[in-house]
Amino acid sequence: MSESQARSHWQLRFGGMGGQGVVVLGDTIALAGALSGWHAAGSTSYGAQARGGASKSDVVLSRDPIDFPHVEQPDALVLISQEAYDVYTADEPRPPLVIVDSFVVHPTELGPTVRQVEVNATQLAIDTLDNRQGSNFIMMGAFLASTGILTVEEVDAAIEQKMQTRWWELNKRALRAGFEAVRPRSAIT
Amino acid sequence: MILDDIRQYLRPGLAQTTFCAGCGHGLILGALLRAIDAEKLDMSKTVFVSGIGCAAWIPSPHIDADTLHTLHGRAVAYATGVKLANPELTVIVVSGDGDLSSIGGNHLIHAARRGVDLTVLCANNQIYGMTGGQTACTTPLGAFTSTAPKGNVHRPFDLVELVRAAGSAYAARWPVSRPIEMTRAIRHALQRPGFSMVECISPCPTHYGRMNKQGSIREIHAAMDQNCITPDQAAELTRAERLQRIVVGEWIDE
Amino acid sequence: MSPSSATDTAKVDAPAQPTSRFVMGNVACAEGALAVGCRFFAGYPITPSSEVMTTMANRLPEEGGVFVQMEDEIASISALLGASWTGAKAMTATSGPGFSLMMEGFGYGAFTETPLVVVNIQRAGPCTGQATHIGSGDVLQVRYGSHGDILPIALSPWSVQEMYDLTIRAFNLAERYRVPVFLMSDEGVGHLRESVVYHSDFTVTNRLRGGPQDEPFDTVEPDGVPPMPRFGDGAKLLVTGSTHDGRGFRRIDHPDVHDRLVRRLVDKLEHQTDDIVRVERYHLEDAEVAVIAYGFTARAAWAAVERLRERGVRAGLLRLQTLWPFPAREIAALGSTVKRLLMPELNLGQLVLPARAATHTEVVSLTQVNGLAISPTTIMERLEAIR
Repeated sequence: MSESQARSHWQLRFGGMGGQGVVVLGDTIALAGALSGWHAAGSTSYGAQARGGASKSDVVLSRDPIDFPHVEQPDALVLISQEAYDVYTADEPRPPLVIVDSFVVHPTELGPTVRQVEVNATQLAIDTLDNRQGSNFIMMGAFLASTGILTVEEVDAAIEQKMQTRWWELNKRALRAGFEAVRPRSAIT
Repeated sequence: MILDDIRQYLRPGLAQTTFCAGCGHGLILGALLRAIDAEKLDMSKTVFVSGIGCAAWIPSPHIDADTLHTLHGRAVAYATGVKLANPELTVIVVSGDGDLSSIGGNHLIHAARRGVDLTVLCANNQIYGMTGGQTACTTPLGAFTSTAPKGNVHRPFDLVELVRAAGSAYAARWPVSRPIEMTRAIRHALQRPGFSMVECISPCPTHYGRMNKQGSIREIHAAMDQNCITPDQAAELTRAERLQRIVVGEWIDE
Repeated sequence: MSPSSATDTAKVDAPAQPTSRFVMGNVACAEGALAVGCRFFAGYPITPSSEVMTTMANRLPEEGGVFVQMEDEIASISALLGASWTGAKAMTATSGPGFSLMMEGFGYGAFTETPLVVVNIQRAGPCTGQATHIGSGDVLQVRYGSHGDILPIALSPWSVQEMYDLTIRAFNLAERYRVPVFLMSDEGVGHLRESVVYHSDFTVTNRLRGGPQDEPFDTVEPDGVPPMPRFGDGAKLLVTGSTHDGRGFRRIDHPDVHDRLVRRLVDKLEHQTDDIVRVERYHLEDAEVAVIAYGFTARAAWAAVERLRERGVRAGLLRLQTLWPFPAREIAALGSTVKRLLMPELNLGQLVLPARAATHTEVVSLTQVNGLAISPTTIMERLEAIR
């Protein structure tokens, strides 16, 4: 964790299907970074359709001004669809950290350089939050626990600034559920 | 005589119009200015917008007020911008049938749908005059033009039906041979909030008249007048028959 | 150096400072327009520019302005031209296919000297192309796309902050010179999310209205910019897209009137390049090779130059913030100090043409038209190869 916090530059990618909410995830972490003193840049890539198709949201967080704001080599991937997993884990060099919702993604062997974190986020959302839509912020919590890049409270601030009040409670609970789901394994790693 | 009443609305220094002998567009200008006089419009708060073609020269430069002589087909879209940006202005569009309903047809129906408070005068001479007498979307079936040497094979638009279907608040149609009715219709259009259109049927002796052997301007006016029918008379006819006649009157959206 | 040209944006909600926000470039563009006094927006939806329009639809009524969604892009720019003559500052936003349609309105705006701002969030053309992906294939179209001799003003932002700042500048230039001004952005910058400061410490330029003695379409003043009355003030304006004299009367058979008008409209901008043209220079003092870049591609060029500097390569960057009038003098000066120049573009080599005309030094063209942004690595490799 302390090693993670010392990093001065992060390239992050959130991948899924159009309409799943990866843009919200990327925007939230980028805003949380900006609110916490990082230089932040976010960008998205998607097809012409509003729903379906591969979709990604890239975020760069840096302690220095960001020259090139797109992700060139992700330091961490958060993937919530099988298609996104197949596409974005195939890039060389392999990303060092891949976090998946194992309810929808079946990970394959990616070799010794890749640390894969599996969170059954959709199932967890149904079981503990009674709301499948909570799965995205469960993944966000898992991402925070796996990287240590920002605190749960720092992301709370972004949720409050960015979202309508009615979403605050669900997403904050989801955030914590995802964080707790990964934290023990994180500590061992 | 009558000219003295409306001379005050003409831009000083203009000796004559550029319209051909027998063209109906000067009569439309007269009807418009008499309507303006009767309605006591403040000419410093009235903007005249036109497109491209013979009819676009009716207001520009003749009328002594703000005039916006725009691009082909776009008069209604420019006028929409003028009116929305300054609703205190009275905005009057004067342009031709090709300009308003062919190249500008989409702007026309959308303005009618939107209901912006515009008064549109469509000078319909059923042909492209300025470019040499080509077929218009208002040319009657069978009529001869420079691009229909064997007669026009495509049905013309009924412009009143067109703007009514799109939502016009007021629509009227009169030929220049009935200037009193035309003037009254323009007054009604100006009084009516929302989108209004007056279709002014206007002869083009230079092109349409010559190619269709319509004879002298006196004969053209007489034939035009005899061709007029009321909506009640039109109801007895088939659509194809109606399109060969001039259905005159006013249609108000209640 | 920082892509945020205003102030340090790392601090959010710093006291007594303008608030820093984290928004998309297209949103910052709309906010810049509102800040400088834009009160009329007409548009038609098109990816990737639509966020400019949706922001205006929400924000303009709050600021007392008028928003209207028109039936197409021709109608949109036409409505702007009408609105501008009532005195309103007016803007639209579009992308390639809509930009092509707006060319006729640009011609009218230039010829009648009507200020307005057109935002082009460029995507990968030609034709419908790749609607959601980046391109910059319209940078010659803006110069040559309308018939006849017209010189445009075109600006090129490279950050979300500049989407705000250069939109303000676009309006000021439009009002100053009575011309349409283009913000030639791209999908990369338009959809980029970064911190931006909506500062208010800028100058606002407003068109001169003139008096009864002034002609609205000609002037003896050396800047060549006549004052512009507005509809409803009793000026009895004659506005026409046909050749016209100083009072606005059509003069469609007068050779001298046409010649004088066409030349004045080009000259009034070409004689003001000191005011209009802006570039930024990075690491050029001792550079042996340099990149000339604009828009989102300039961000990749900046990264490439920084990384090469870390390896001891003397590389530099000339960033074009103004595309038209073309910064020929600045490129000529740079050409005399470096061995070779590289011009990366998201088209098949458009602005490299005037760049090559500006300098005797070799300008290598790096082109990419696959809908993806040019990466810093691509630029680094080419720079290494040509140095």
